Amino acid sequence: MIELSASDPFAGLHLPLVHGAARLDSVPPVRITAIAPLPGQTEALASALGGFPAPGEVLDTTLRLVWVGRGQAFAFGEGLPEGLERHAALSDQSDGWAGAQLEGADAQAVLARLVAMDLRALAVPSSVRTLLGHLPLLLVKQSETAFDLWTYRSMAGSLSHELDRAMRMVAARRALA
Amino acid sequence: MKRRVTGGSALDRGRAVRFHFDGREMTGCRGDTLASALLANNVRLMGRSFKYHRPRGVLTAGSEEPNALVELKRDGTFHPNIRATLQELHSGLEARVQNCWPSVRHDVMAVNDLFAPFLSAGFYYKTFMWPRAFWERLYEPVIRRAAGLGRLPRAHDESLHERAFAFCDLLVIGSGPTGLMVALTAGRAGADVILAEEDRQMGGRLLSQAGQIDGQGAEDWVQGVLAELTALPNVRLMPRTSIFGTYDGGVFGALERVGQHLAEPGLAPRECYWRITARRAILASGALERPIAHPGNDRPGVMLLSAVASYWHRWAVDPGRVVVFGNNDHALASAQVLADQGMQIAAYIDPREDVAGDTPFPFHSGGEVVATRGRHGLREVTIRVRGRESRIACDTLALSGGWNPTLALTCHHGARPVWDEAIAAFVPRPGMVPGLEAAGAARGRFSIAACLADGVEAAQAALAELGLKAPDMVLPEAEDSAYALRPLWQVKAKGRAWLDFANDVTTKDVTLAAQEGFASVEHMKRYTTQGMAPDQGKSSNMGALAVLADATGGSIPETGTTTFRPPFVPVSIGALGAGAKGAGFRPERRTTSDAQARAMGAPMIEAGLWYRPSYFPQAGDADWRTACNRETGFVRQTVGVCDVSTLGKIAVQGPDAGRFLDFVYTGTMSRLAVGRVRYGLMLREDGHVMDDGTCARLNEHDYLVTTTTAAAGEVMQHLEFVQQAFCRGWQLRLASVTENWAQMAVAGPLAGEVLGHVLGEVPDLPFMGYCPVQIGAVAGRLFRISFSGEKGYELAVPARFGADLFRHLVALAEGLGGGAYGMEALNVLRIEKGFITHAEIDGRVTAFDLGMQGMMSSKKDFIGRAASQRPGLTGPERMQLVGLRPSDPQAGIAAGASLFQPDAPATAAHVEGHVTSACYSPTLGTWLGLALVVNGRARHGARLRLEDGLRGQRCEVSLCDPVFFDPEGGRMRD
Repeated sequence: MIELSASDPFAGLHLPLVHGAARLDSVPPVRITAIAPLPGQTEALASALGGFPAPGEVLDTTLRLVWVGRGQAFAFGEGLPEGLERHAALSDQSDGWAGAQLEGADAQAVLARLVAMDLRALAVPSSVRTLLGHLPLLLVKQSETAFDLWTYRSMAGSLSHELDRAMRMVAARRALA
Repeated sequence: MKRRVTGGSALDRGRAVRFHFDGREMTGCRGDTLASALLANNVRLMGRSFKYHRPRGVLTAGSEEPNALVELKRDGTFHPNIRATLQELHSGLEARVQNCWPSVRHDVMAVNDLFAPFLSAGFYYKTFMWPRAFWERLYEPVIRRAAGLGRLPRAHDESLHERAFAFCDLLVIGSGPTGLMVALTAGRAGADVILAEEDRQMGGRLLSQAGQIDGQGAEDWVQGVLAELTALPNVRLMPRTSIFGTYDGGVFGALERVGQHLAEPGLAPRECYWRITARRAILASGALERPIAHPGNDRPGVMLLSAVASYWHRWAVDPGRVVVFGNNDHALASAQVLADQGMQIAAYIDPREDVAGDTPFPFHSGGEVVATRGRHGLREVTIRVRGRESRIACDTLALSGGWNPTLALTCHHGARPVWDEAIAAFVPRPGMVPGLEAAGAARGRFSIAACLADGVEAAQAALAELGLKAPDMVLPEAEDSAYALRPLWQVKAKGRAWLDFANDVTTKDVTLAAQEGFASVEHMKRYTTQGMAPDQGKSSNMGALAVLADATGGSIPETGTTTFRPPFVPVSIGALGAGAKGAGFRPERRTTSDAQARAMGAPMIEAGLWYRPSYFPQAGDADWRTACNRETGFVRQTVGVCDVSTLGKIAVQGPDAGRFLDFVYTGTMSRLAVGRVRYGLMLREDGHVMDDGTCARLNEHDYLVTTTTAAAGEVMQHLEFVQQAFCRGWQLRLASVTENWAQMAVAGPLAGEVLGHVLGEVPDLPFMGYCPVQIGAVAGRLFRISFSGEKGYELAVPARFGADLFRHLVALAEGLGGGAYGMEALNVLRIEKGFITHAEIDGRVTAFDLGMQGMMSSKKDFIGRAASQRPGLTGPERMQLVGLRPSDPQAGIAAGASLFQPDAPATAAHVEGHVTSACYSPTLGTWLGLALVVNGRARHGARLRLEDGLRGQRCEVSLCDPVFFDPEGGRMRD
């Protein structure tokens, strides 16, 4: 019998990265459960969970419920109520996604290089499924200057590469001004 | 510095800037463009023309410049076709003229000019017809060498580029009097405004002319407006930004010069390619002055009057003695103002008979310029007034043939502008691009007062559409003079008169095109190349179609315009592809064992976006096959470990999951017992095989589908589609869990021993069984499945433990005489067993072709079933999967080779099949292949000839069953 040790998806990528007024760091590991209500079960599920997010919504109950796509939300955190499987398909996604937080006065300027969305228009908190460059992205707007960026674990290197490049250029522009 | 006067609103006169032009060191001022600095250094000759290599100087002071294109040395390479009028001067700037050899003053290719009579429009279509074979071997290479503007650097462009997205309520394109008023009105209303201006400074033409607005100097008024706009948090100013295209959905392409004007931009990009999404946009791009086509109008020193004024006002460039040749009131007024300010106006020439003026300079109404002199720069013009010719010595000839609204962006969706007789120009119609309207000079309102008023009106209309209340605006007082002109498209006199300076197209070329039948404007353009240079005919389109109309006897509106397409200004490919270089070209997917595989020296190969180890080299290996043979041996003799996490994993959950899987697989999954795994095929709707893989029943309502690495996305998409389109309301949900699990194959006779070390005790799993397991505190999944034909397991753990699990498994395997194996060995193992991959499932094969027709259930419907039974998809005429063995076991074969009857010629008509996969089997000591061969299953034992023209392989092979090794499967079952 062996004991396995865990590794970080951003291992070896030299996080945190700080360039100018933007900082990128990994989000500490957290349990993520994908919850997809079965047909006709959304209401029952919502009452068991204390709500179920509509498109773009982030609900903070005992857990953080983040809309991630058609009929699907991620629950961030431990303590999922018992018996949810009667209403929804549940799958563990804690290890499937790599999360990094970009924060700072230039966070939006950096994301404007990579994400084809007007992030100013999003509520706080809210979520969006989109692309970061060519990477699949789950973006959670935490504040006007802080964004959680989740992509597939295998693409953590590309995520950090894209952001590093954009952060450097935005910082260099600031230095010109 | 010789040719500077005092002042220069764009200049910081105290800051000298040293630069190099064609190897000569010169000095300019901070705020100069390369063009203004060269003029100030008395350099008028800035390049050679495209075809005739005629000396050329700067014509304009803006982005529309056709002549002054230079090569800029930068970033360890050079950039061709940089417009000297747009390139800002910085210390250390190095520019070089292009299109000349050995120097701009002595260019041997200028000999072309002597042969001009033979180089008319379309000359190469006529001249190089014979002999036929010469075209490809001689003419084309020679023409290609001689043609083209500038030259391409051979090195990679290492300069930095950026892409970015922006969003706004209102995009204002241009910052002249109109644009400023639009931005001010919308800004005060609280709209989210972007004001984009191509120039370094905002203000448009107000920067280049004297005059008063609201009782103050125009430039002061501009500064006041800009101060207010800068203070508004809802207004973003984007100078140095050219809007180059309008696209669907209110998207505008824009190019921003970020670092190109700086000596030391650091890590700032050279340019940024913006995609701006605007709910509404107002085109306030102003108008471009047009030249007049008269003989010798391309000499250095011939410029547009507006450019002469710009260089004078903004950059304090003294043009010397100036002859103004204009056909409109604006030109006359300008000449008077410039003379008042001290410019030496040697004469004003106007073709109109009925104008007169009390001017401090000679005024020739009813006159035309009919010739110019000066080899490398203008010295003298010849004018003709009512039939009498005379000469005037001068340094500069300032042309003004009227103004064309800059309307190209309104035409990018295919709509055509309309002719406005009053200004003899095309103007945009409302609604040519949804959400975009032109205002001010861009729609033919030329006076400053009209522009200011039109800006407010346009902003009010846009604000109403945006649902915002327009503020009360007081219109500033400004010049409101009338603009009268008499069109003069060409001066009829002896000598060549240029229309398109950039592509060397003269009035004669256009007339010739019409004579030779290319009378439609689109044909004329292609025959003469007019308007096809980097400037896209900004200063020549109008003149060319007027000359064409004259030649064909039609009117200008009947002749029509050519099609305006994006980009409106040149956009570097580097900017369009910003970031998509090297690691930015596409995302990389890396497995959890990636770092260790690389540390072990494994060359990585791409599988979709994933990277997987090819093989694990060891000291003393002769080549990759040594490693591959060794790793194959691990699995056949001891134990091998391979990361198979890249295979797609899809959780199918819910009471109807089994029913759903029965519908998407050819086989039945609903009757699979919990804890069991089944191999399955999925077909496309057209009956061909889409993918294969295993399906495990983890729980009553919980299945796990695996897909091939390459088709994981396609299968997920397919299942989503089937679920949403055909199975609405069924109680099931799908989720991709590929990334959540790291999965390692442990295969070989000693696989159980390795697992024993990992799990403590190996569960008694039957072949094709599944059970949950604990690895210490970690919950995992164990599958007894095999892609190698040996006793094998796949152990899955949450991905965070993948790297450590791989490390442990490899160490344990190595302790037992085995080790890690890569893709090469995996491929050998599966070919030995006749297992298929997408090399076989190439999108054209059916289950019948693969010999898997038995897997198609006849007791239920499933996707692709009906279509798979169509005639032609089964039967002896189909190419069927077979094994291949060469008669000489050491005769190498490769995938892609074709198969023929022994005596048939190697032509397409005789192809009997092709090799899909091949390898050397160390287990069997021979080369092996899988192939698709016509009626292959009935021909086991037949001998065919294998030919591989690409690799020069040729050998005899015999057809056999595709399962070469352990056909009974005892090794993996027992």
